[in-house]
Amino acid sequence: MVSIDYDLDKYKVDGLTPSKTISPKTPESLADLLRIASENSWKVIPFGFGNMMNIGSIPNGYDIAIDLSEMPKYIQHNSEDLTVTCSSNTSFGELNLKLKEKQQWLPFDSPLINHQSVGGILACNLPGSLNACYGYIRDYVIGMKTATPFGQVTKSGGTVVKNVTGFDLTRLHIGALGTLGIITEASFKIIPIPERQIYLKIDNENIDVLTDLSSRLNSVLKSFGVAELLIESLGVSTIYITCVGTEKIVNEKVLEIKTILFDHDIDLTLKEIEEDEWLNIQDYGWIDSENVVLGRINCLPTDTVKILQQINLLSLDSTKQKIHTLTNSKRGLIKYKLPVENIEDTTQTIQYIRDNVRKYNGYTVIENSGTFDKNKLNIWGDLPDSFPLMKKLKSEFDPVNILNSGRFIGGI
Amino acid sequence: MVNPSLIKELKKIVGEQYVMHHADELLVFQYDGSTDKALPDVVVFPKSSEDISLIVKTANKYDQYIIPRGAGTGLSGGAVPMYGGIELVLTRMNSILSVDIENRLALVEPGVVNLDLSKYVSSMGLFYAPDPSSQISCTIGGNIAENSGGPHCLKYGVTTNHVMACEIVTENGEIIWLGGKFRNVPGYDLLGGFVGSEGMMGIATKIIVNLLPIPQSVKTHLASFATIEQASFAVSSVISSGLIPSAIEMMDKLTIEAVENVVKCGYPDTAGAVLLIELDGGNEEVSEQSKQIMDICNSLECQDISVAASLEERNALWRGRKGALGALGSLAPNYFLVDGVVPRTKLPETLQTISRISEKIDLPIANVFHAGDGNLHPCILFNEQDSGMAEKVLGAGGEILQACVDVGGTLTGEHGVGFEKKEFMYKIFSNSDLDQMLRLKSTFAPNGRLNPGKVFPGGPKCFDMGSYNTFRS
Repeated sequence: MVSIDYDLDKYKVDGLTPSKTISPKTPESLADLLRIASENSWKVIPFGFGNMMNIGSIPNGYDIAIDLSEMPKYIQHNSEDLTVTCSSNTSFGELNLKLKEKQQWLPFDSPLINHQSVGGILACNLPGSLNACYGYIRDYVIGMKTATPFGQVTKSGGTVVKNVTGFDLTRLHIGALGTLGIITEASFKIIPIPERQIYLKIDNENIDVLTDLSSRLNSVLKSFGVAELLIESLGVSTIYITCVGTEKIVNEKVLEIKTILFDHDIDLTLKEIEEDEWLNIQDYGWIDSENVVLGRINCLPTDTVKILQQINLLSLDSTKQKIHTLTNSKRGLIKYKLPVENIEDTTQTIQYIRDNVRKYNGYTVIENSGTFDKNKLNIWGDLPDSFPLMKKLKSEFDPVNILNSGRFIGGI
Repeated sequence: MVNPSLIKELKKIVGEQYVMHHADELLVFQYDGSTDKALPDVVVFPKSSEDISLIVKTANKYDQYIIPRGAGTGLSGGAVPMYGGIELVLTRMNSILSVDIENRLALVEPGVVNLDLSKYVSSMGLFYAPDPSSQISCTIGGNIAENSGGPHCLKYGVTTNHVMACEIVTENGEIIWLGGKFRNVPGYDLLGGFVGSEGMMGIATKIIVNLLPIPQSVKTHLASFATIEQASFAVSSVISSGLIPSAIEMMDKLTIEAVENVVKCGYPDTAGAVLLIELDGGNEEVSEQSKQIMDICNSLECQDISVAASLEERNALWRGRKGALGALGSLAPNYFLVDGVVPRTKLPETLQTISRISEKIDLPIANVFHAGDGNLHPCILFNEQDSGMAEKVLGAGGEILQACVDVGGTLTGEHGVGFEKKEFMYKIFSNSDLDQMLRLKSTFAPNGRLNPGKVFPGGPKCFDMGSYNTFRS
């Protein structure tokens, strides 16, 4: 284990600087470190690639930054079984490159996906567009190892694609922001890369038409693609589309899209775009993110447009803030961006959005708050009914409350 | 002797006719589909979440265990009341409460029979994907407890992939919801931890499941091979080619013989093994993939491969597969069904090991299983009247599971650990691993009152297995 006490600023989280950083080199030494921290009530924050450290509430203590960059990097690809096991310190981009050698992949495109560690992606569990076609990362994880505050490296699941041996702990750690343990290894089932994936866009100024169109496109694309509606301001909006499948299916879907566009009176031109432009959309709110507050709404797919219309109504009010949105009606997901400058307006707008979303039994969380004062925000929004059980779970897995303390929902 | 006051209170909650406690009434509730049996002290049939909440509170008052039970089709002793107590039979709670067609969600009670849900929503163009072989009788609540799979989970995943939310009654009688109508509900994925917890963490009382659109096209192939090894190799070849059929099922010569004795669905009697390979999706996609399946099988010395030409033919092929376990009764009075999983590339090697075990114990072992995801179901055929048979069969079952573990596999793919396999858990997990699972269980049910004596090695409270108390102190 390496301990370096200088250059601590790079481990700052929400303005807090740790008094020490430690870089364990093995899962076992990481587990030892957690045990020692637990015995001494030292609050720790794990650092993977460090790109998503803005997620979560302000920590309620920060003694040690656990720099995971020295942890092992390995990929065991069992291409004939369509499974892969890798260390959590593996770059997701590198993992998918390795899988691509055998025409396989993990079909995820959450924000900054190629710039994150596998462990970081699992701990944050941010949604991506391809969830609409392929499901969620939780459905691909077949096994996991974690370092616990009791000084052990424990496992659940395994490396086979079907497994109900013992309780499924992997799902607890996915999206838990490292508050129950630190993921050290994960096994996934993987799938073949589709024969073809294309990226398209449609620009227009008529938001109502594009809103309706994006819903229609999503129902036509079915599981072979997804349409995202980007409203940058109330003057310009764009539908971004990706389509996946065999050559035949993709061609068929493009033809169907063109037929739908032809039905409209206004000029709707379909343009093919590069993968990079699509990936930029996936990074929505995470590039130059210090200047924006990025919120995420999850709701029923059928409520998505209704909620979006409420948000657009607010944007139409010239006295109010302009709200930029990225909407996926297939997944029931809206991301919205607000400026960081005017604290009062931004907090009011978030409250307005939250009140509206609540009417539809949806949830709003702040994914990224940029340089905005987090003290003014309720990052995790309304607490679910099961919150008391969540608190109990945390106290079972991390009784001294050392892991990412205070950063998760309800100050867990 | 059950406390008469307990009986009186239970009758007050659910009504006189829904409480059974006389010895002859209890007999049928000592079994599930496994070999284990034990009598409950009393059986109760609740009608609502509120009934269950009151029953659980009453059980706490009288210091009684609660054993939830659906249709009792489980194969690992999960619903067997090993330490007595109140058996909570959920079959009266069998309503499909609502269907949201646009969002493809159904709200159901736990006693809804799996296949009934798919039948109910089929006119809406939808189906419920998890399809255990017992789907004509098993319940959604039981499927949640065991995280059940089925032939089509190769493409669609198991129960946990299709459950969005559950209302549960906890060990202290509280009613709470886990999950939501959409994914990414903030906080820990408690629902993900709950599904597959074998009734030890709470009782699911209402369930929101995700439904899927009925595929445009389905093609079912019957491929026959001279040997089971050749068929296994074909499975590996299909999977590694990048195709993901909705199901790949394998039956060996013994199973074919049994099926043709009883179901008579046209499996070739000259084959050493047959594969049922089903594809579904869009018309063109399925046609294209069907050609690829034909090419792969033909290149591997397949004796014959055909495609069901009609819905009737397809149903006949599946009737054979789904009736296979029952048909084994034509070969021997009893069978012991093992549920293990191996990496798909290890199928040929593992099947050879099973064959060697069969020779060693001098008992036939039939193989009928979900080959596409490496989920083996060797069935040891025997006559329980023969002396020493139980020991011999259970020993062979253990050897088969060890063989699965030795090649990187696991103890159960879909039947659950239950009572049957709990002592095998150390083959896979360390004390520390199990300690983490106990922490999850303790979050929901710290007193061990729900379905005691399952999953974890040791006695009813699970605490005699080692370190848990030490860590808590």
